Amino acid sequence: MIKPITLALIVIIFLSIRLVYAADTASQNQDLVNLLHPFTSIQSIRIPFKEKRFSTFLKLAREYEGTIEYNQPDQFIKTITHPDWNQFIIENEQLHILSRDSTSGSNKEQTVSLDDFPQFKQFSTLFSGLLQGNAAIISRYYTYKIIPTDHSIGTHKNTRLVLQSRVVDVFIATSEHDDQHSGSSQHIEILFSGENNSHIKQISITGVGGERSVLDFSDPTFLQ
Amino acid sequence: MNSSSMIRKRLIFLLWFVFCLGMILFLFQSFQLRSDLSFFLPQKTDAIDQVMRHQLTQGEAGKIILIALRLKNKQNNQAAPTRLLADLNKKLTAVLKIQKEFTQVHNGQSSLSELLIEPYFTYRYLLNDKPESFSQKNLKHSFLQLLQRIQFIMSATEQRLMSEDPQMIWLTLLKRWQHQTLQKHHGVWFDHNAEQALLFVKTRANAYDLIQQKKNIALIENNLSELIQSSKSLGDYTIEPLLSGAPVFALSSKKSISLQIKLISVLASITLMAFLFWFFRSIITVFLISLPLSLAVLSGISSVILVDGFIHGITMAFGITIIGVAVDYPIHYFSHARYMPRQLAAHSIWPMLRLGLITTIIGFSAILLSDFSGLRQLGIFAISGLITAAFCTRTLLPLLSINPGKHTANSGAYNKLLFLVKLPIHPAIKKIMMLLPLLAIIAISLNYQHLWQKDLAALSPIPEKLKQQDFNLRKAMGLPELRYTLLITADTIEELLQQSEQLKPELKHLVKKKMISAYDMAAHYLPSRQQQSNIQQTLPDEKQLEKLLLDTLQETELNAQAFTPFIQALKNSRQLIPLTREQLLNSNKDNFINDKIRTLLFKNDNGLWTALIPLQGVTTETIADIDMSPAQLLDLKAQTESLLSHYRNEAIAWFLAGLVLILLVLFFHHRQLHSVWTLAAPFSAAITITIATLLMAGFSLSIFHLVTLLLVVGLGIDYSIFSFKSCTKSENALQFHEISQVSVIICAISTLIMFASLSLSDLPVLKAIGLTASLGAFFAFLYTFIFSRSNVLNEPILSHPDESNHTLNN
Repeated sequence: MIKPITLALIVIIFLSIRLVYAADTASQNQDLVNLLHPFTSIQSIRIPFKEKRFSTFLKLAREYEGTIEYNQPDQFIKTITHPDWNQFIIENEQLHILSRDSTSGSNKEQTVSLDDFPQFKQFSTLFSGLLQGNAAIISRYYTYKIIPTDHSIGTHKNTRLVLQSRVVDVFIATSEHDDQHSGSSQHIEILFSGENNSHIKQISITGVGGERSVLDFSDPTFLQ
Repeated sequence: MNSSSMIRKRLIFLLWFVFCLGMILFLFQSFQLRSDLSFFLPQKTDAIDQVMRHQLTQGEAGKIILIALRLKNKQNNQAAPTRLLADLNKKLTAVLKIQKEFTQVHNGQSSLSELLIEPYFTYRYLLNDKPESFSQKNLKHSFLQLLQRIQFIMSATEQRLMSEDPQMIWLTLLKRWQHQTLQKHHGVWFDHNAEQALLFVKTRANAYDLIQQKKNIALIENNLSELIQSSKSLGDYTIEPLLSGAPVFALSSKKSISLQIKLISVLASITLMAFLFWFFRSIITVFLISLPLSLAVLSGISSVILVDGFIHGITMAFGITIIGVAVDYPIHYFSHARYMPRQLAAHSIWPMLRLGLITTIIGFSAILLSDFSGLRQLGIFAISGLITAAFCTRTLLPLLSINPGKHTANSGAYNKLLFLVKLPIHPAIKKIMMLLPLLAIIAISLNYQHLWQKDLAALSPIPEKLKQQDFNLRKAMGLPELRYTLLITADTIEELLQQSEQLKPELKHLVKKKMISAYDMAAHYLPSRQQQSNIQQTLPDEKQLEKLLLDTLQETELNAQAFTPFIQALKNSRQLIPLTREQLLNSNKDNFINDKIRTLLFKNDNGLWTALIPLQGVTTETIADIDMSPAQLLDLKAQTESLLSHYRNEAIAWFLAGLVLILLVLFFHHRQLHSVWTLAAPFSAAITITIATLLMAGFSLSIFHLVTLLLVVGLGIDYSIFSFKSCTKSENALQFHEISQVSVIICAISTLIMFASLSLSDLPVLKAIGLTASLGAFFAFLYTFIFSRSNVLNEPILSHPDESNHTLNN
């Protein structure tokens, strides 16, 4: 028979563990909120990027150039201008894929449900979260760590945000107009720089089996 | 009471007790109720009928339950955001997928774990009938697309797919096999207005295994309500699930029919008991009147199970209807027992009751020879039931009923009915009544084209709107439509598959001409061994492919080394032994491809292999005129109608044979054509006028009307015999005749109370039975009532002169 005093102690210990854990979580979330704070006022932004794509399917790393555009509340556009023109527009949970026919030069458009492209959804969610300064979205889809680095650009120290995606069950499309794609867990590192870490310098995404992508960003254009 | 009569009484009790106990024990051990419709299909069948039977019982379309989820805001009735609905849909799909009762659960999502379906994935190159896939041009196009895909970081499964199947042949095959046009939100199917999230399950049980289907539907509903209870995100929304599909319709029909029957039965029984109590003034008598019918039902069920090992639900329902005449037997007995000793009453009415019984059971015996098992069961049920009811009335009731002198005779009630019996009838009424059947025949012949109900759907209690909704959802989900199917039979699977493949050009031509929108066949998923071998021959060998790959990838950024698994997969494909049905189905794995093959390719009862090729989106009925030999076109609607008409014609033939037998029995009994005419004319007139009245009221006759007309025959014979025959030439003959006529009035009113209330139902089947029985009973009574005044058949019925001289109590 457990004595009342023992029971009370167990309850107190249990509660204190919970409280410590909750406080730790709140403090970590606060770190992320602080890190993303400079982005909260962004209404509309376009950022040029250069991407290096590493894959076992490629002889050498493939290089892409283009822009990423975000418009509040939920429009996300990734435009690739090199080596081939492609555009991915996300709006209202739909993904519009535009590509240019190399021979005729005409544009082809395909609209699919974003849920059938979990990798892209994850990527756009990441950007929406970052550019809205929305820590809740980031922590919903990723586990994260914030690591200050010793490297610095100018007078400001850099910060690294390390994310591990929570996508575990992914789906493949089978409808007539859908394309097939799927995803799996990814490791993402985001390098913040500038005053108050207000500039995203680099995003590196690593998948399984040597799949990797490194995006370097130049100065953004604030559209509004 | 002397000792011998006491012993006799005890012996009768004992016999009935043993009989009842025997039946109860037998039923307790052997009762088996079946509800599959195939039992009501003819036994001697051709290939098409067998496929019909297969489609109706095991057909793919019949096993599908569609689930539509709609959320409504409790406050403003607004539809919920698609995200909420999609989440609920995904959760429900996940919980239903682990239930063994369902072979498929699909909501538009395919998880990666379900993607690589073996052995089909390994055999993909032998299943793909597009040899041009390996041309340099096509290969280059495939790799350019692959380069575009590399934009995204790939998962492990995708990397495997890319390296083993860079042309995406497997995904193209899957896409082709799972054709559907529904829109998706958040990865799951939604209806056109994005208000309902959709999914479907395919049950392991056959469509008309209603007991199992009831459990399946309850399983879905329980899982859904558990999800709703555990889902905190629903907040202000209420869930509105809609289940559709053949099993749901079958159960909802059963439920609505049972509900209405219960309601009507309770109302009618109370009214009937009140009426009987008004006349007999004895609660015991009122309850005893129900005894012969109850024993008749028990005996009917036992006999059918004894012969066939089971009873069909429809046999039971119709059987109870057509032995409704059994209620008349105790009414006749108790009517007479109020005015004479019990044994004498039973003895006095027995010859009439016996004659009615013999004629009715001989009439029903004709259907015992029917080719339709359902009709045969009905005959066994009716014959056994009626014999039991008659013998119960003759032997058991006189022992159970209290002495007539002990209860208060309601002379008032008797006198009121007697007043009706003695009511003078104007000769003109008789002339009009004689003219009525002729007018009825004219009306029937003028409306002959509407005489028979050809459309089964008209008898269905399912609202048209729901049926249309089900049809549209099926179409959008790419689920099979039932109406048009091509049918091929052969001795071997290989022959069947080859014949199916030969039909492909013609079918593609029909699609091109937009006469059909699509077609399905087992050969899509399982080509003939010959075709698989032919395809195998066209596959490039290892060296050819290596060269082809190097040439194609030379000027691209793609690394040829990464596609070594592709070369290996093709090398393996060239060595594979062609896939067979046995190899696929022996694994007993539940996946949609195995399921399709099982449905589209099966062995029929004659041992022949049968392939079905369902045609979808048929735009013209001229499809029936196109020669698709060796395939036969099965138009399920036309076939069902033809089957129904065959059933009906056979039923009519056996009913007519039964009527002829009844007339012969009456003739042998009376040896006078006049007597036969007197007894047969009322029910013949009643049947004719009932049919004409139904036609004039806009009803066409179905099998339900026909079966109920059997009851009318039974009632008509009963009314005639009791109205036209007098007991004896003695001085009490007139009084006995009056009692008989009064008892016929009670019988007729009782029947009208029971069946007229049924005709108020809004369910077509119940209405058909109710209207036919009440109209038929009314007309049969009217004719016997009016024409029995001047046509009493004066002949002795009581066999013992002593007994004939008993004084009637009243």
